[in-house]
Amino acid sequence: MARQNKMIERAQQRSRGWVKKVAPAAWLLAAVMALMLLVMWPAIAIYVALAGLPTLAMALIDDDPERRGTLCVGAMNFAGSLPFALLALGGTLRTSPLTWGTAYFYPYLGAIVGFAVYNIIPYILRRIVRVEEEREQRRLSERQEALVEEWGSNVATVRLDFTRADDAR
Amino acid sequence: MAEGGDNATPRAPTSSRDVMLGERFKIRPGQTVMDMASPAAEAFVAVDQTQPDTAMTALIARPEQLPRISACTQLKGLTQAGGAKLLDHGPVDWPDGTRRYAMVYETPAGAAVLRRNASMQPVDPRVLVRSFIAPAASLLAEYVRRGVAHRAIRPDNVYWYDFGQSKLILGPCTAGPPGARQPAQFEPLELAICDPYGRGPGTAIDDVYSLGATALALAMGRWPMAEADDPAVIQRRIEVGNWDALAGKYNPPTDLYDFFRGALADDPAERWTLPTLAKWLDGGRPALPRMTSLAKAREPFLFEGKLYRTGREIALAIAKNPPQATAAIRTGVLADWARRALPDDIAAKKVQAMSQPENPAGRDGDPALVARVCMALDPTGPIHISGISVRPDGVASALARAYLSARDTLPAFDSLFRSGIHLEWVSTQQGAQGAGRQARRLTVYERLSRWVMEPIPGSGLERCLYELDQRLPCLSPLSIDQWVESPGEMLPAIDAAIADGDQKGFDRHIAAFLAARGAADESALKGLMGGSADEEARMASLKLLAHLQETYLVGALPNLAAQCAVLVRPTVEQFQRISTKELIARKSEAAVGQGDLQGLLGIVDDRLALEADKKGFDSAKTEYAAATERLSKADLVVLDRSRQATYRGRETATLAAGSLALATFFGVLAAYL
Repeated sequence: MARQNKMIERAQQRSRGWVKKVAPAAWLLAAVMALMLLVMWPAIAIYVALAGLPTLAMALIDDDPERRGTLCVGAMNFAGSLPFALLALGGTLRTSPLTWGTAYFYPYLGAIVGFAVYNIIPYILRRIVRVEEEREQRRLSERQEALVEEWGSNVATVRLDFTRADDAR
Repeated sequence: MAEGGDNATPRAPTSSRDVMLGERFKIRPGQTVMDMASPAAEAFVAVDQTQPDTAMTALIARPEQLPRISACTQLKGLTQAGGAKLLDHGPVDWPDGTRRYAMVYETPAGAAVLRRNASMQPVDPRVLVRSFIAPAASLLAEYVRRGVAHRAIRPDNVYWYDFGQSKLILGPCTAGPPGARQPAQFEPLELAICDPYGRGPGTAIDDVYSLGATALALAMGRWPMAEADDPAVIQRRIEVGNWDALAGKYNPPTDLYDFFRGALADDPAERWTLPTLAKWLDGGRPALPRMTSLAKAREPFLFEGKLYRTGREIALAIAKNPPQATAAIRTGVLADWARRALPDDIAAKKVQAMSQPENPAGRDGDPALVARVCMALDPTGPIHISGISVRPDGVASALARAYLSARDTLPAFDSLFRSGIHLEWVSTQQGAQGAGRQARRLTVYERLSRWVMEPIPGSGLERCLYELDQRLPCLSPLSIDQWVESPGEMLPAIDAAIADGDQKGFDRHIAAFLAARGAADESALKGLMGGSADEEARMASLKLLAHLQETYLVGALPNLAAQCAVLVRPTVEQFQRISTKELIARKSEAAVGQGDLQGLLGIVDDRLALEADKKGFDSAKTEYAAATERLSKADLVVLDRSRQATYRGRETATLAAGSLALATFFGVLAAYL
């Protein structure tokens, strides 16, 4: 278990390193694209900004060091708004997405789905872990009872390790 | 036919139920043979079932009396004329519930020829030679071939063999220790001055003396010096010599003069031997012994108001008064006298040296000092120490006697062995009569001191007792009534004693007996005697008992097995697996029920099973400890794994959201294109 924790930590460090390296370029590219979009198609730029508000909110409350919550919400949120922005750029839409409610429904629905996915999957995995652990504890207790039954109470003279008791508390 | 003659005080029979000795002889405890009883043995009518018409007498050793079992073994079936025929012997179940030693003899036709204070018509010299001396000499020669001396030749142990009184025979000699019942008149002087039970087995030369003295009594028609007690007889013999003391004014027949002179010679080295006697009987003229007498001092030694002139007299006198003797030695009074008056220069120098304070003779205390001085004064005499007078080869019967009825003399034996005086005595006997036999026993003698000084079970005076006499029964209170001669017989005796609720337990006698006869080691004996015995000692004792049960084909011993079950309980407790313990307990109960010590040993001595149990227990402990540790850290484990689940869940969610986003993007795009 400790080895797994270390693997996770190493993965997190690698991930942070990559993000740190790429982040300035990504932000610069995003800023340039946003500026170009704002200059060339101001209405679409405003639409994209308004449709992406859930992502902004999620970014503010996301406690994950790797911003996975923001990625989940943002991906789904962006997936909902991008088609409308592209259609508007292509002139296919008869109305401006800025004033069209449906163009907001999909991005916001995507953000909700992204938020749900981000929270439900870890919850399910945690439940599975807890059930497995309870089953293991029951097995160990039963084994201990069997040992006492076979060898007598002398077999239970053991020394406990309290080195990580504080961690448990 | 009694070894005690007129001192016989037979006890009333306890029951009239017949007792069997083997398959052949039936002993009738209800029919006493008064004429043959003695202080050593009761006498009862016996019936030979193969010859019902032949008169038989069974001598039954009295309690606290020890018959000569080795001699019985050698003499059984000897049919040579001249002596009572021993037909069978062995322990029998007596009606009083004890086991007694029985010796079945053919009953002679007549009574004892001449008892003390009685008189008879003097036997004609030619009849005496033909009917008594010649057959007796022939018989004694056969005894020599069998390695036995008679040592009970005296007038009240000589019988008319037939109703016609044509032949005389020697009576039984096996009912008590050799020479123990011999009056001083009929015992060589150097043996007569010993305690009766400490005279040792003796030799054929001692028998020749007794034969001569007995023949003298028969020739005179009365006991010599019948009215004198033993000390008086000894004193007289020292003063004037054997012949003058015993015969007095009696003028012997010419035919017997040479025989009396040869047989009653004062110096044992000059005394006739059996070959010499045979030569004389064949009409030869053997050389007669030189007329010697004990060397007398130039001036007498005054001790306790009496004057003494010979070393032997002084040795006897100071041996009887150890405190005064110590004073006489330490103050130099005896040494001064020895220097002035003792004709034996070597003895005089020895006494003078021992009187010096720094002399090693005094290192073992006053009793040993007195004993060494006595030895210097009378080198061929017995060892005198703390009031006892014994020869080393008579120590066994004397010590047995001490344990049976004279325990106050036990410290004397302890002093004797601790100081090693018996070894010093043997070293001074070079060339003396019986020296060869003493030297052969030197190995055993050397061990006596070690056994007495070792403070371990199986040692002590008791060990000396059983090593010195290999046929002596165990004298433990637990088994003394059962006549236990071998370790195999010991086990049923112990079992029976336990069944009777006898709580005497394993005492020093049993430990020493098993050490001497059963080769029991210290550890096993320690376990038997309880106390602070450890597990190894307990196991060793059980192994010993089981080995004896198997070796001697002893039957079931349920009571002993029950006690041994207690003995091995700690060993059983070493097993940890509960089912194994229950199994062992069931097997143990079965073994106890069957009285099977070997089975019991097999159960508890299973080292492989114990080892496997130990390994299993260690493994179980490790497993239990690991489980406990795992359970104690369950919260931490849940915490760690939940953290991992969250991390991996979020990764999965990101991947899923990304995939879903692509699908959604293309879905929405397709819907509006």
